[in-house]
Formats: sequence, structure tokens, C-alpha cells
Amino acid sequence: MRDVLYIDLTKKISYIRDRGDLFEKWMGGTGVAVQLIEEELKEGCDPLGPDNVIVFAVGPLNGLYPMASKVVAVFKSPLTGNYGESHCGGRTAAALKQTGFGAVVIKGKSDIPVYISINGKKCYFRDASVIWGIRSTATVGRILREAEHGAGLRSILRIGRAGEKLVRFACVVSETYRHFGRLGLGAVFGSKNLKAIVISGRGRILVEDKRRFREIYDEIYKKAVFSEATKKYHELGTSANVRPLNFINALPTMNLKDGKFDGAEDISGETIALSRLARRISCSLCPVACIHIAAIREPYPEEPYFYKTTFVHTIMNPFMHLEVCLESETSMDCLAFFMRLITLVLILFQRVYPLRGQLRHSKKEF
Amino acid sequence: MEFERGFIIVVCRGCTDPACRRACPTGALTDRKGGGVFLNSSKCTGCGYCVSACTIRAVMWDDDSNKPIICTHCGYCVPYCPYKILPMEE
Repeated sequence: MRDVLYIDLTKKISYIRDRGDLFEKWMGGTGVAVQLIEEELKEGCDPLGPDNVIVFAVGPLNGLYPMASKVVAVFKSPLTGNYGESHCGGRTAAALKQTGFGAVVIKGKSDIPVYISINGKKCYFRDASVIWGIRSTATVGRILREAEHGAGLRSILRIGRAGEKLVRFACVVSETYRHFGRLGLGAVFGSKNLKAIVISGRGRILVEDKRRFREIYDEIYKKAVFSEATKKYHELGTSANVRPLNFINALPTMNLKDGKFDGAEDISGETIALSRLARRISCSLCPVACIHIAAIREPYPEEPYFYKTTFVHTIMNPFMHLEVCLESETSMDCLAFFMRLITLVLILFQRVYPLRGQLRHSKKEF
Repeated sequence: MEFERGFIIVVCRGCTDPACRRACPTGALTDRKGGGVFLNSSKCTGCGYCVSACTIRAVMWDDDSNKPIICTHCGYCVPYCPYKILPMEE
């Protein structure tokens, strides 16, 4: 985990450097990522310009212990113009760890849309002009799954159209239901003409003291699966907080104008779990399974007993029912791209809500 | 293996007439009592025929040693499955 992969999108070259100096001093993860960004980032650069730098980094626990499933991305945020740090679950951390790289540094800007495929120690630049502009990031994921090798252990990061159009709070989607949600990493991807990154590695992670490793592993595993500390996340997810927060007038409603929402019961974790929950999913190496996926059945208006089933990430959305979220294509996009930025989503919904009757069957897009 | 449709786990079924053993040209894989195979690493040349012989892809590959990873049915994974999908059976 000493090697750092540098990718230059302008020149379409990549190179590997041994940065044991950084990993020995700063361990990995955010510690090393911050050092790398300090080395690479020019002062006063435009966050959406070619000079911005993205650093992904993993730490010593990733890929080894339960619950250590997050990868960190550090960049200059287009939302704040300041330091941007975003974390993401899914498989990215485990996949990156298996490539043997401790960090990946992405610089420059491509002249055409590209995606990067990191396969072990090799890095390929691939034309992404065909998949640029596709409506759903799930579709992009599906296409890349078939186009690239390494199914099962790899990770596919991609942006949607919000990122392509440089929406300053756009996410990067990982494995369909996980996101780099904070501070607009998606827009930085878009500004670099970078549609996606596929990471697959099959390297071994060696452990020095196997017996001690197993002991610590078991200790964390027991806490993750059997203790009260994680029960809430496993059973209902973060929407378990809706009822208690509403009760104490702390449920952010209508872009934080209010702390209480009358329909809180309908969108509480309990209601969704009883009526909508389709399945729970885990990130790689995490037994908690806190990802809650709801199934929405929408009847086709013209035909009886015929439904379109959509799977959506159940989010703490203190504004309306899940069905309402799906009523217009607009909010579906919001759900897919911005679900982690709840307050900003609310601003959009506030504008759309009065129009929802008219938008119901229209294909109008934001 | 995709998020929309749920995951699958792949576990060696411990065949009594294993296709991987039949595909092995060097005799590195030998029958195990009760089903499944043993790997004799010193005889293995890393040809990878065993991997393609297994229909359910339960023979994994170790890129570092260039040898297959053969399940020995030790049962170590069993207690780590929170939903008891993986039981230990004789």
C-alpha cells in the first residue's frame, strides 16, 4: 500500500510512484490524501478547471476488517471553493486495496469524454463518448459491467448528467446505491470529461500475525452484528431517526424552515420498512447491511394489473411520500443524483411540488 | 453479482466425480473422501483448466501464486454468515 497511481487526463498517461514516505508518516486514507492534494493542487485554481486534482485513498484497515468499507476522495469543492472531502462505501475501498495502490491522483482534463479502467497495476483510458449523456447512472453501470472484466470484486464509479452539466453539488455514484455525496465531486468529474472509473484488482493483502488478526476481526464482527450500536442501522437505517427527530422538533423540513413535518409518520423508517422495503444490502466487508432499498410499483394507466417496478434508495426525505418522489421524472433524477443532499433536493421539490399534477405524465426534464 | 438483482454466493459443492480433477493434466488435484478435491501445489503448473472446468466457477484463482484456490470445506466462513445461508453439513 505504498504505491500511488498518478493519472494525467490531459496527456492520457499514468505512472506509479512509491510514496512510502507519506504512508509511513500519515498512515493512509485522509491523512495521505491531504498531503497529496497539497503537493498537486495549485493555489487559487478553478475547482471546475483542468488544474483541480482528485485524490482517492484507502487506509490500513480497508479490505481487512469488518466495517472498514469507506474510501475517501479529496478535491477542491466547486460548491464551496474550499477543501472538499467526501466518503463512499460500496466496493470501491476493497477493490482499490486489491489493486495494491494506496491512493490514486487524477489531474488534468480530457479533450473527449473518457472513462478510466484500473485493472491491477494497469490503467487504461477508454472512450466514453457513447455513454455520455445517458439518463440513468444504473444504465451506465450496467453497460460498464458488460464492457469490463473482473465482475464481483470490482467497483464502478460513475457520474450522471448532473455531473456532466457541472451542477455544483452533483454526486459520484458507486455500485448503484452508494455515493460520494458531499461537495460536488460529480461536477469535478464532469469538468474533467471523466465519466467513470472502473477499479478491479486481485492482489492479496498479507497479514503478519494471523491469530491476532482473527481475534480482532471477531471482536469487531461481534460488535457489528450483535450489539445495539449497529442495530438501528441494520433494521431501519437512518430513517429510524424520522420519528424521534420530529418529536423533538428537529426534523429539517422545507429547507430548514421548519423542524416539524405533519406527514412524518408516513415517511418514517417504520412505515417504509413495513410497506415498501424490498431488500437490505451491504457494502463490501461490512456485515451491518444498512442500505435499505424500497420497491415502488407504479401501475400503467392504460392497462390493468400491469406495473413498472422501480427500486429506490429509501432516504430520509422529510417532505413527501416515496410515490410522490417518483411522480415526475424530474424528482426521479433528483433522487438518483442528489439524494444525499437533502436540503438542496428540498429546494427543487419546493419548486416542483405545486406543479406535480401537471408534471405527472409529462417527460419534462430539469 | 449486481446490486439491482441481489447477490449470489459461490461455494464449492464438493462433487463426487469432480470436473476440476478430471480437467487437471498433472494430477495436482486428487479426490477427497466425501467429495471435493485436494490441491497438491507442487504438482500444479498453473494452467487454469480447473477454473474453466467448474460450471459454477467455484474454483477461484490466486494471481500472486498463479495457482487455484480450492475450497477445503473447513467451515471457517459458516459463523460469519449472519443469515445462516451457509450451513455446515456432513
